[in-house]
Amino acid sequence: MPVAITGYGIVSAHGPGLEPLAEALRAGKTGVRPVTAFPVEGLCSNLAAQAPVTTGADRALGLLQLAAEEALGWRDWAPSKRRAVLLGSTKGSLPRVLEQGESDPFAHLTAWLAERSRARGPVRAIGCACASSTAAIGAALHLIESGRCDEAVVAGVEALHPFVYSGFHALKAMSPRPAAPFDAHRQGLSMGEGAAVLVLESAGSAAANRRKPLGWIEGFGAASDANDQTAPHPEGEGLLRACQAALKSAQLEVGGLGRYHAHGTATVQNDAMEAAMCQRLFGPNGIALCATKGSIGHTLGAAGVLDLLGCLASLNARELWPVVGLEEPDPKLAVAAVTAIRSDPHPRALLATAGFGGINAALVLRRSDP
Amino acid sequence: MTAGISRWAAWTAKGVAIGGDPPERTPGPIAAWAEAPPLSKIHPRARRPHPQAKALVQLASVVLGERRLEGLALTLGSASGSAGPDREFAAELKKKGPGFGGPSLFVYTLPSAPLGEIAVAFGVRGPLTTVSAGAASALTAVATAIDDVDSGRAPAVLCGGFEWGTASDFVALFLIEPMGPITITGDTGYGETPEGARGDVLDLIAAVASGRPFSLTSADRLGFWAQVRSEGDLQ
Repeated sequence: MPVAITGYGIVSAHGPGLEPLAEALRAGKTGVRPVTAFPVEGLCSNLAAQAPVTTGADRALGLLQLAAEEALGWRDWAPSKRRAVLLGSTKGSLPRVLEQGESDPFAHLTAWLAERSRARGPVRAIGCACASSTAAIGAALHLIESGRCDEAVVAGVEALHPFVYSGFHALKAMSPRPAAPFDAHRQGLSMGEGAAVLVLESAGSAAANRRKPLGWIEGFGAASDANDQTAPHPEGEGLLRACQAALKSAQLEVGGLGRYHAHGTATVQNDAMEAAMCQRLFGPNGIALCATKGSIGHTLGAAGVLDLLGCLASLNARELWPVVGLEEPDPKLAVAAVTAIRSDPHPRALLATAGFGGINAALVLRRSDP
Repeated sequence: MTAGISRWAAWTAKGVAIGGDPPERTPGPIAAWAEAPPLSKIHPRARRPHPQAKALVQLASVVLGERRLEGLALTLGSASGSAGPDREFAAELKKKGPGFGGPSLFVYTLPSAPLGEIAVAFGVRGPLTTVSAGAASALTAVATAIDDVDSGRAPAVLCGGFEWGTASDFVALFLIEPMGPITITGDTGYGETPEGARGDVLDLIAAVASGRPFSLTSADRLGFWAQVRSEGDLQ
């Protein structure tokens, strides 16, 4: 049962709103720049995709509030026990834990969003590493499809923090130049920050309220690698099963897809894993591959919702947009990565996310009009 | 489909209880467990896991036993999540400098890291999810696990909660399966908390062990609540 996206808001490295993000993706423009938020001397990179917005000290809350006002501000929200809030993040408001002695960096973010949207149904934060907000969308889909809720507000948020930046330095996962997914000379990821908020509702509810969806979520799947805490399964075993589960829930075969929107972190291991997975899922002919992290960085737990909005913008434009940062496709990766804008009639995409702990989640997306 | 609890275990400051009444509550970190299964026996692929992840793997081993359930999902609730490892990694950065944090510790600064460790140890290939809903986190995880089994989304779920580096640490795990011997239902919400006895997952163990019908509600000051009920014959 497709679920409609009838409200959305986003803050990314290209500023507030979907339009600046779409323009940047279409133009192949990166938002990865030298970090100004904190010192990075001596680390393996000095770059990140910082959101060019001013917030209060609680950066994650500020980013969430900016995205939420765009997503929710156009409607009056009466309290409803049939409205859910699901929030995906890896670190939430980390300074609350490190500087204020609190233990829970998520509860106040989720509660704020519940109060803002006057949700009285299921409200919780979802932690699935870098697949967190994708999994939050999956949980929302279930609540709507099962009839427990009429609508759900789903958010992903991640703020840049020196703690996380140092951690990815320790893992030797960051690139000294802007991330170049699927490139022969890729050296790792670029950290990013941002927030996105979606309003999801059933097709019936969207039609009854005469709301035109930005797009549709038709399927969701999740699965674990059971392989390693940091390294993905080399053949993409968990991601393959997540993608197959998403297709099954959408009642779709791979032939019904027009593109694969990759997690595409630009680490050597991730991109190789996704290439291997694509071979297994799509066969030797492959499928057009897109990715956005060369433009907006890796926003960790928020990546799913930010990638979703970038993907839907290109689906609605009936175009395939280039993988930002990709200059020389890696010949060892047999994927059809998009290197230049071209028109595309296919209405559907498969979007994938993968995280530490071998956590994988995938979505089937369809553009607004058939 | 009717979901039920088939096995459970808890580990608190007073020790470990497997399939019976929970140990007495006492503030502090979880107690030493002399009979804990050695990691080398239950998780031969372990590479210096954080003690939090190690504890969850050890307790999971007694709940799962020799069973390896196809499609098993993991859903654990925690308010503190990775706060303990977070503070340890921050202290390491402060002591050694921002370029010298340990990668093996940083890996565990995700609330979902202990679930990944369980998955690697026992070959769990279903979805792994941590949920955070303040003080209602663990019971929220149980309620969502019940729903996942009831709806057929998961064939079985290892669920429950953990708190680490708090005033009262615990790990509590439940195996939820279709037609489990103790049938339960659950719900979650936000705002006005429903009527009923208040309690958490440790109270859930006592309630299940009592063999009597029960309704337990966890509530958080911010408005999160989760409720788990059993109204049938528990014998």
